[in-house]
Amino acid sequence: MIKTDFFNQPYVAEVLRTRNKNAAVSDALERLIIGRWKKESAEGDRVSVVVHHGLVPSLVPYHRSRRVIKNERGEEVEIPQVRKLRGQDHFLYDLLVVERGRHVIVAVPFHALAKWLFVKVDKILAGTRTEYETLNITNMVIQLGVQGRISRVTENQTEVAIVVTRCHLAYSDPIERKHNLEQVRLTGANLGATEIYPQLVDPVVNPKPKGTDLNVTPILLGFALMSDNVKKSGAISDRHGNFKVSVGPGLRQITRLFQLLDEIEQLEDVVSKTSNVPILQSGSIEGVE
Amino acid sequence: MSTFTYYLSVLEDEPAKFKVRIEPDTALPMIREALASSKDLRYSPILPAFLSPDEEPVAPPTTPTSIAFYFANQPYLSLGKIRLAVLDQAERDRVFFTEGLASIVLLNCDYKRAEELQAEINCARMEWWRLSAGTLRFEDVVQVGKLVAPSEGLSFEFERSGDAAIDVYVEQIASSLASLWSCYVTYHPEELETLKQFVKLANELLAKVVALAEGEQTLANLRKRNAIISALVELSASLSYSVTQGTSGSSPILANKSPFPHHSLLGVGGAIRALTKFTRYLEAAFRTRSAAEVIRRQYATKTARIPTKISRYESGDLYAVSAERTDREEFDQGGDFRVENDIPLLTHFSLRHGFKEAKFSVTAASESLTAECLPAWTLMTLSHEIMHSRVRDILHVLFGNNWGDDDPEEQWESITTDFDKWYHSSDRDTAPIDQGIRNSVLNFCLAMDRSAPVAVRRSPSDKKLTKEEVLGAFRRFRRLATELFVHFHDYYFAYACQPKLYVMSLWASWTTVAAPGARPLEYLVRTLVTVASGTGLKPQAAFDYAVEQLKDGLDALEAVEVGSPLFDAIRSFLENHERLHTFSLFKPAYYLIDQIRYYFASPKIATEIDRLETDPFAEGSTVAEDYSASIYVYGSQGDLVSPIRYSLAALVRQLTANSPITDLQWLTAWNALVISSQEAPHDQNRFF
Repeated sequence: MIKTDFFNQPYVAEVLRTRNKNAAVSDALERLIIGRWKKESAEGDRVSVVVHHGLVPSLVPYHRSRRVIKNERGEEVEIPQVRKLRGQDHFLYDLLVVERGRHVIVAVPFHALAKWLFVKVDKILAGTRTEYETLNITNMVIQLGVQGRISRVTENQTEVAIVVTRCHLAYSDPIERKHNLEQVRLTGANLGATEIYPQLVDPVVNPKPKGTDLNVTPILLGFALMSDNVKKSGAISDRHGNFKVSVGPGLRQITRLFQLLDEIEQLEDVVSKTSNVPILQSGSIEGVE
Repeated sequence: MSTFTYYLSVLEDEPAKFKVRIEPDTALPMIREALASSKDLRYSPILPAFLSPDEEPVAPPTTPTSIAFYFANQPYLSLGKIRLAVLDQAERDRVFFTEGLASIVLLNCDYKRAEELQAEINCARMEWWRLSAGTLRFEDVVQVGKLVAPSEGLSFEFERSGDAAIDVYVEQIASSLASLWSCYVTYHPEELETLKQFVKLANELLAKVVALAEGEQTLANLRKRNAIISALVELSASLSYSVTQGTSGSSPILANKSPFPHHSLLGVGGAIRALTKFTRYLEAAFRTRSAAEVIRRQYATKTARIPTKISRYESGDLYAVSAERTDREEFDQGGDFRVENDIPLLTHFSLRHGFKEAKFSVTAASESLTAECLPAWTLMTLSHEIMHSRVRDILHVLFGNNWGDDDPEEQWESITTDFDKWYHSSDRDTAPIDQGIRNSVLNFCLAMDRSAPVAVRRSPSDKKLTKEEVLGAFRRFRRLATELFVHFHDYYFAYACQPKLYVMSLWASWTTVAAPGARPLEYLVRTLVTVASGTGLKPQAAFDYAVEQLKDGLDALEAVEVGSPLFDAIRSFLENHERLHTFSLFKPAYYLIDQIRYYFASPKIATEIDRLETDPFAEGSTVAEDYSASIYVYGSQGDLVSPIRYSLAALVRQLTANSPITDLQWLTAWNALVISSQEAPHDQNRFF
């Protein structure tokens, strides 16, 4: 079982779609790590999911402090690990590449590390007709409605639902042209069940004519996949294709992310693609735990 | 200078034989060489298109083996399209952008690949040069792309007037329109409708001038005729500038030298397109509601109380933009009142005029081609000039004249009579709103005119206002009243009521202009009342608030080393006895700008300018610091970047010394590239 060094903290991720053959992305990105990928297969709904884990060497420290964890063999190791390369000490950070066919998730444990490494990923994938997946979270909020939940019953009679777990809204007031209220952040297991959530998202879900009401824009949206009321996976996304995900020691959260993305794809006008590196577009996901 | 900007130069070594080189940093060595050898040199800056954070771009070869020029009309979108899917990293390093019509340049790429990319970039024209040891011959130039045929030609109905002096302009206008039409079909198709509008306008002007020539020859007739001839001259000059600046650098590049010596190879067509898009964006937003129609059809039929006594003026909640207000702003009430028949402004750069607005055109300082990212030359100043156009319409309706007249005295009889009656009425009396706004302007002018101390108290018999006194005060202070209207529009619509930012923007740019140095107190008062507008505070409290904002703004500028002796001069007007004098000028201006705020604030128009829903960088906020524009992000189909918010954010980055790179030319050209690539707002093609 793969256990990443920084498994107990959220990872910054980007989701890619490639037109190239299976494993093309992980093959191309292997040059970023020391040694070879450690691979593990997980069962997906239809297509198997392959997790690739490696360690990226960096001269720059992206962690705040070093600490000790137990690795998958039960040995105590200090993280980030340090390796001398070309005569210099390098810090080693997790890089996860999770592939399901041509659908790929790339994840690392720190935002600043992502800002550095995802640009390198972008350069390696240049010209391969690979693009980044983004979610139109405004349309998601509209389709999830004031109840913050949308559900369906699958072929095997399981009720799957997407629920809102985090909402970061920006307010602009065209009437006052003032900035008395700028942002509101909510966090919880199921925000739609609260009294305040419907009030806050009402201007998004039921917009009034331009210039007559508050302009409310979702900046970050956290959502979870529930199956028969059991949480299976969750993620937070901004408007530009940046994701924050939990990986956990068994990596089940991240491998199930494809199921969550599959459910989101069923929503109309939510999933789209961009050629821009998401992490260079917005820093709003930084600091979100 | 840094290594982000390179110069592509073409030196005519022999007839039809050119030396082509790419030099970093500065064009001066090339110029020196051209002067020493007496040879024709053309060059233009080219800028690496794909930067990465914290990395220097890969230097281009000094003598490339080939160059592909793509005449992409939306280069920001084209770069976004080819960036990840089409180009590998080695090709990305050879892609450059320019401020010319040939907006994207690819070095060292064979012809087949250049053609493949043309399809991806989606441009009508491409030019490919094959170079041999840095030498180019005419036969090595390949032009790709057909002449684009428009669905219709331009209907041309000009006829000579018979007056030789006027026919000179007829011919100039006609030939300019012909040049622009053929160029815009390929390079600027959105502007074809603008040209049609100008044909219509020119015909109307000609018809008027002919009719006046045939009418009774009076002084009034002569004045009108001169005003129309003046309009024809201005139209001709503006179109001529559009030709020389907007069409140079088109394909074939070597045959279309630009009049700008520092952009002589590729021209400034892309930057002109950016100015035009910026202007059209604001025009489209203001087209949402016609100020003239609101005044004529709504304000003329509604009455309101407008305070008459400036000395006792206290502002109040009515003028505040307050959370408790649930009704719509006065300007947005009533019918649709869309603008149906406006005349778009032509845009170009001017060495002589700098930023300026005229009847048919608006100019940006030519420094904005190189240093637009500096506060003094930011495109945000263009918004101020465009607001002048809006305000001119407002004042024309209020005072019942148009640009064909010059304060015709006939109407001043009734204006003065109305004003005198209103001036001596009680604050409880109501009047039609249009009349009330006009009276508040005159009231302000009169107060300013009487602001100087007098030795003897005015006698009751002197209190009756004469036409001469009112007209005289209006003529002396009309310009200042106009500026207050413009400042409010700029502050409310373009700057989204961000006081400190507005102060910083104004005073950073005014350090390079002569007028604020000559009349610092006037410019100080203009600033103070603008940032005080909408507070609803009593005048003294509003003044204190505005002074705090001003001092904060000036301190912030000085913290990033934008300083000027002017700042000390205006601070001195806020100390001791001078502060009282400043307040005495502040109060009438505050009175006027409160009325402007109350009757011309429009959330409907503001939302059209902000475009928070469609702007990929807006992050749901009009706060400039929240705008997430990045030089590492490229255009996507369907995104509509607000040129106003984008320029404002670029300005903020400079004002806070927070730009990721410091190359002025690169940043300037990048801003132009982004703005030039924006889709026209949906209702743009409204003519005919």
